[in-house]
Amino acid sequence: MSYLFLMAAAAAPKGPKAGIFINNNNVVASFVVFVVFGFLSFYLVSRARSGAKMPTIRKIAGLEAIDEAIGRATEMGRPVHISNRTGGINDAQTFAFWGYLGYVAKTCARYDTKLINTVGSYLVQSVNQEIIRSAYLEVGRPDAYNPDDIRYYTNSQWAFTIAVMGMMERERPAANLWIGNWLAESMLLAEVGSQTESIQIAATYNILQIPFFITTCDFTLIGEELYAASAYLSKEPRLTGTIVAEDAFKLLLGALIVVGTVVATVSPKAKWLTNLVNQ
Amino acid sequence: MTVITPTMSTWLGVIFTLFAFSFLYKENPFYRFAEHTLVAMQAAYTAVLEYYNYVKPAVQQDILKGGRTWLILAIVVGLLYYTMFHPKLSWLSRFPVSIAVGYGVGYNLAYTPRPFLVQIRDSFTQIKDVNSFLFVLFLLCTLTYFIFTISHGSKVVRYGAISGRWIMMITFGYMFGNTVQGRFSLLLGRFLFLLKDAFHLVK
Repeated sequence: MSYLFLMAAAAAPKGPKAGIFINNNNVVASFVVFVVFGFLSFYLVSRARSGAKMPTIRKIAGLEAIDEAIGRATEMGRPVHISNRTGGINDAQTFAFWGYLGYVAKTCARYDTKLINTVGSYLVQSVNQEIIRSAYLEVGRPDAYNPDDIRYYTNSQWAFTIAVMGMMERERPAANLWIGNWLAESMLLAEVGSQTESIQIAATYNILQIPFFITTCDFTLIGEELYAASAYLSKEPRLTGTIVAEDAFKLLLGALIVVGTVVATVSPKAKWLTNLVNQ
Repeated sequence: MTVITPTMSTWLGVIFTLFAFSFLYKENPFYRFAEHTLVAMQAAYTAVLEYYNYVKPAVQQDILKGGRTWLILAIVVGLLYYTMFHPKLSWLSRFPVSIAVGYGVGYNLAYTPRPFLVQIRDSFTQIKDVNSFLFVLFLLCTLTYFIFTISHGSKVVRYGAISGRWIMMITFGYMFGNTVQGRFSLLLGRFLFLLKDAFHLVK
């Protein structure tokens, strides 16, 4: 009988944590992270906006190569190709991709180089169109903007891959930029780009695809570099402020890992820190 | 009514596999035919899938049967996307896109910290042997590599970042080898389809 009561108690819905949070692991800790990081970002972005001196972002190999790649494409009279397949409109990597797209579109417009953008999401395509159109307007070349060069093929992984592979062989872009979230198609696309003798620059957060980009591309931005580079390219103090905030937060997390390791080593039975993160 | 028999299906598979493999020689009309067929087929498939999985259940079950009439508003907002084809009304298409971006930002802010917190919690390792010591050391070195605004003039930061880079490269090498093996397995599967199912050359 008591066993039944125990089972009923286990099956009963749990009350909210601290009266307001849903009763899942890490919910309160996530909220704390959100508040601390939000405060850090707000403070550092405000400082950056007020003109206070901000630390410089370290040189990221591959970013200087973007200008070089566009310059080479201009000299050869071949297009520049920038692509983002997997990242949907709600993916943080897509937000970072837009930073690259704006920069590349402006540079291409300035040099009068054809820019091809292939995309795997029709919603992202409409934002890309706006970004590229604005970039061409900003540089004073609205006539050079061609919406047909912003191409949504399909959201299907392999149909998109086969279409982009064909496009690369037919139009032979001199530079391929693979920015954002990529899956297994990464190697096929970058391999074809390599065969068409393009300069290739890749940036992704997807750890499983980084090895393939490293082996086939000239430059690969690893993980977090994707986001930092977006701020680096835009030279916007607002974005630099968020990178400084990120770094400050990483240092905090590094310190937390060290403390957690020391606690786990010195007093293996003490679970207070683990429980704190689990809250 | 069966339009395509299993035999026809196998032969279509063979033809399109060979068309796709023809790309290894160079881009050619056969490859282009396979490419355009696949993209068109996918577009048609997606349209049908979206209709049966989302549009039909939303209208039939949620709105007509369930009485959730407020969903009509969502449909109207969604339909605004098509205004992009009308030059004077195309600005309206920004509304559904803005809502989708806003949803994405909110979702990321709410759900991104959790997986990282789980990783941090699991990194609280009791150092009891060389393995656990190396784990913590490698973790901190890799973290140092991703700090962008602190000068690498200090030896700790510089060597930490360099070590982090090496550690990642070794890991990527292992992952590369592992995945290439998986890809070979897929290629062998395709060869097996051609040799066994289509041409009956192997049993």
